[in-house]
Amino acid sequence: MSQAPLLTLDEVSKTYPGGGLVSRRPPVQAVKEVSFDIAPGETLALVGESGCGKSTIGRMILSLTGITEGRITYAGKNLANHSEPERRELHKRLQMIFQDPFGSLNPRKTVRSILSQPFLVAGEKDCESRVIDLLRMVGMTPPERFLDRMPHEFSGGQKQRIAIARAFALGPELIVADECVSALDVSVRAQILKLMRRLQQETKVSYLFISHDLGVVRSMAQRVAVMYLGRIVEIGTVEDIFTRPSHPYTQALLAASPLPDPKRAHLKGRLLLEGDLPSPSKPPKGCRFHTRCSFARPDCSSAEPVLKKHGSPQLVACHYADTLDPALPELAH
Amino acid sequence: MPKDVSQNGPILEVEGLHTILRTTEGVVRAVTDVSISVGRGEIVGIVGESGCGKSMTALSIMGLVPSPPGEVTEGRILLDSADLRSMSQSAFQKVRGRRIAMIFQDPMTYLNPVLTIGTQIDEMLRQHTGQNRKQREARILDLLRKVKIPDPERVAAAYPHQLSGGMRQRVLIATAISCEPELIIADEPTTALDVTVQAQVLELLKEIIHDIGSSLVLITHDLGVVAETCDRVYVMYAGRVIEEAPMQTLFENPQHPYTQGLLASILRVDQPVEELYVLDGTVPNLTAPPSGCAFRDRCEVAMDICRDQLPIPIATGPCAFAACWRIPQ
Repeated sequence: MSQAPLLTLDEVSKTYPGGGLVSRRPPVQAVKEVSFDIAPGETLALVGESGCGKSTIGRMILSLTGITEGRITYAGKNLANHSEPERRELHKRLQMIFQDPFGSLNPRKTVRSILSQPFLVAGEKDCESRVIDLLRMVGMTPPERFLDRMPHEFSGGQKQRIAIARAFALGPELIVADECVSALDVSVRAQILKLMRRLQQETKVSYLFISHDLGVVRSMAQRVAVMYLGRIVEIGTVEDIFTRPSHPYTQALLAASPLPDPKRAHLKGRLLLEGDLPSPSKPPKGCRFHTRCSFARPDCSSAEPVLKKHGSPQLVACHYADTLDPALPELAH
Repeated sequence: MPKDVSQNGPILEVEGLHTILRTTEGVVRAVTDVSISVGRGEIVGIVGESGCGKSMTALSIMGLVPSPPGEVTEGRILLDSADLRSMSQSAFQKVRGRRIAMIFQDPMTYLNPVLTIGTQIDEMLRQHTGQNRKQREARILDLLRKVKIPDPERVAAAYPHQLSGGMRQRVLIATAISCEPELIIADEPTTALDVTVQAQVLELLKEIIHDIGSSLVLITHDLGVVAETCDRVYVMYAGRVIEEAPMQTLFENPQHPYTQGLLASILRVDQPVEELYVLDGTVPNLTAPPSGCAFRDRCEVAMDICRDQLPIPIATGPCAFAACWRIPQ
């Protein structure tokens, strides 16, 4: 990569302690030794099923939850070493958009007050005109009409626009978008994604785009990291991941995504995964995916594969990535 | 509206269904003049975005519209030619569960958290079959095996919270098929599940419907799910059916501008996206539905007539209809 990365995760792990007075719950390793970086203006997508640790990563980047091991570096500086004033400064540059705008917007505040908040916290006065600019920026026109309304008066799509406006208020460099269109209808989802793409072109913001929906990811990301039970199993460009998926789990995820195309839908049955996701509190030994992998061999249950180069710059954590059929020729178009 | 169904006649026929909700903001016309038929052994999809009336249609058929505020005001619902709306509550009770069963989106709200899985399936069997305890016990294990639950003895004794989302949905399917109903209505059965589990559950549903010779109404917002499951599709918008067609036809040759827009909005995993297609605007408020075509404000090809007159469904091919003034008469 030519540019210095904006954000770097270096062997980051997160373990939630077990506990409980009566029933001793085991600790849960939500994220294990995850490394990636994001360049300025880039969109990296984190995909995986529920419980794979993708949201935990987003929360660690925003310091909403602590890191157990490893290091997160932002603009060349370790996040853990920031002083309090530096941390506050940092929060202008790092923002988050959540899945449920109803939960993230205060139901008792007007749009004016919700969108003024970032400016007030940053110590800026006279923010009315900037709030109006923000509303215009996210396509809510005429802005004056919306200023004194409350969140419940808006549709899901409009609420998400307000949440996006708030995230962009202080000119962020990186936005963590956690399943930000999952709760929206197809037509509204396209509106929001288009808005986010336009804002990225205008402001050169980077996105860490967390989603379980591979179709959405394909339309938004330049690079994709696929996670399974707390680990990255494959990371590469959007082109690599979607046309040459090399990890059996990536292949299975792609095969399981419903295709709105009756002619091709029937092609896919053969890669159906068996079973459920194992519990993250007791991940399988060896390769975490071996219990559901149709290509698993005896040593997959003892030795844990590490991410290694498979093509360039694609990284895959599978012992047998080289010997597998670079599958799904029918899907890869 | 003429319908093409299998020789034995449809298992379900809904004609001119109207369902309203009385709210403080006024009367919401949730379902307006909906006609649907389901042939024997057929898997029929109802698709649309939130608020289009697809779930209310399902609840109306099941006689489960919450009242107040809801009420089915008009229409006929015929299950195997018997009118469900004119049935007494107690007669309906015997039909529900035994002849029509429903599968909901969120199994956790449907399953009772303090009863074991076995007890909950047993409730259905006790209600509708005359089997003794021993027979029912065997039947419960048999059902759990049928929905491919590993270790059925353990699951029968487990509580809902001890199971994963996919397992709970399988339990729901087991409950629904316990009396081998002629019709199953599944409302977003896989929406809360991860994609790999969704694929398993859809595959299972298809297989089971086929095995017990039942019919399925699949309500979903996901056209990908429709393409992989359904034989025929109804597209709903603002409480009305705006297009119906055999599944292949709908995907290859959608007629209504809304269906075309929906299909174009889908982000596919098998194609790169250069330009996002955006269907602008939002669904109309159903307390004061607009005159004419409800889609006209979002429609790229709207004409004057769309403002004043409601488009009537026009045949667009074999078993295919669409309600749009642009379609040549």
